[in-house]
Amino acid sequence: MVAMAREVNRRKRRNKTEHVDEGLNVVPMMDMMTIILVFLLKSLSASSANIPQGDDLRLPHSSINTSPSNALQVIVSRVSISVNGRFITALRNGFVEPAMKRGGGTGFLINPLADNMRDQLQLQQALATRTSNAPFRGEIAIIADQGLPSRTVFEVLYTCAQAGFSDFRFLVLKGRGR
Amino acid sequence: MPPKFTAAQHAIIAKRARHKEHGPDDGGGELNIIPFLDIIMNVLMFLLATIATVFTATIPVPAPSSSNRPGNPQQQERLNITVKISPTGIIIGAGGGFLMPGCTTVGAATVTVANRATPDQDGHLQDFAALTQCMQAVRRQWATEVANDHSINVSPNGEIPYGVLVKTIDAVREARPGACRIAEDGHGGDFSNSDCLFPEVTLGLLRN
Repeated sequence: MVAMAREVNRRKRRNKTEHVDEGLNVVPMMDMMTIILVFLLKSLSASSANIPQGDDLRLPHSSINTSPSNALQVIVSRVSISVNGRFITALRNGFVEPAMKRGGGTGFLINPLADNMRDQLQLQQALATRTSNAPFRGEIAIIADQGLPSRTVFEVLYTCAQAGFSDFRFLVLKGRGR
Repeated sequence: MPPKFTAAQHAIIAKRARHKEHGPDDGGGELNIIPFLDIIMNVLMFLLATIATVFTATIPVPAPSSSNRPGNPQQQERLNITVKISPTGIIIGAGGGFLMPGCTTVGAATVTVANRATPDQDGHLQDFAALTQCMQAVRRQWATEVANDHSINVSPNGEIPYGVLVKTIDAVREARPGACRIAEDGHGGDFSNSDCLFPEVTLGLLRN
């Protein structure tokens, strides 16, 4: 009986070493997936260009190859103007209501936007004084629908310039410029 | 010397020493990661599908400056090229007049680059390819003046769509995508490259 038990143990040991796990080892793949997922989530959350496009906001395409910056975002859709996601004023057929502008229909300064941009300017300047690695540059990213009348975009540029911002950028989609 | 076993003993030994396969219902003490993997795959696919928003760029638009006031010694050598986008076509001003079709002579043309007969894939009637060819002709024709001043002013009519303005800026800036290699701050531009036409674009607005 002792000899039999020894033989059983010997064969068990042999079988154990020769046993090959035939199932697919998914652990490396899972590691890779998790790393990609974390990377994508981080890059998306850190990206300033995470723009929700829809029927009211379709960005134009351009062949330029510069990187998007972390500038203050002024979004001009077909129906509204918003700054950093905060609603400022509504548009009618892509134009700002004359009552919202200084000087009426022929005016360029959009009153509610000017008020907000002055607040934003003070906020950014205060932040810049507290952080040495991010000096104030007065940078604005205009995110506008490609079907908007140019006049509306220029009114936004003029209003931002009047508030004290000086570095303007049009945010566009890369590729298929022409 | 190995012990001798009978056939019955061999059968018992073989039965006891056989490796036990785990069935599908056996826990085996391991975590079932398949549902977790499914969730990760779904989230990954969703992120990859929506990541198109990341592929964005910015067109630097310099603020208007007063450096070109009269009396500037370089003023006389400047062409002061202006590209006006009207509903009927593109009018290019240079050297105090307007460029004739073909863009090599200054005259009194009402339209330098006429609109296309049919809209392009984005629904625009403006002929951006012809505009780029016109800018190449200007760069050849007035090589000395253009070498001193790479700037150009683009002024759309107020009702011209913003998308047309962006395409016009592209068309006058470079003949081949990426030729100018604009710096991140909007300055510079590789003007030595013949495909880089007018890297310094300023904006204006036409009165309706």
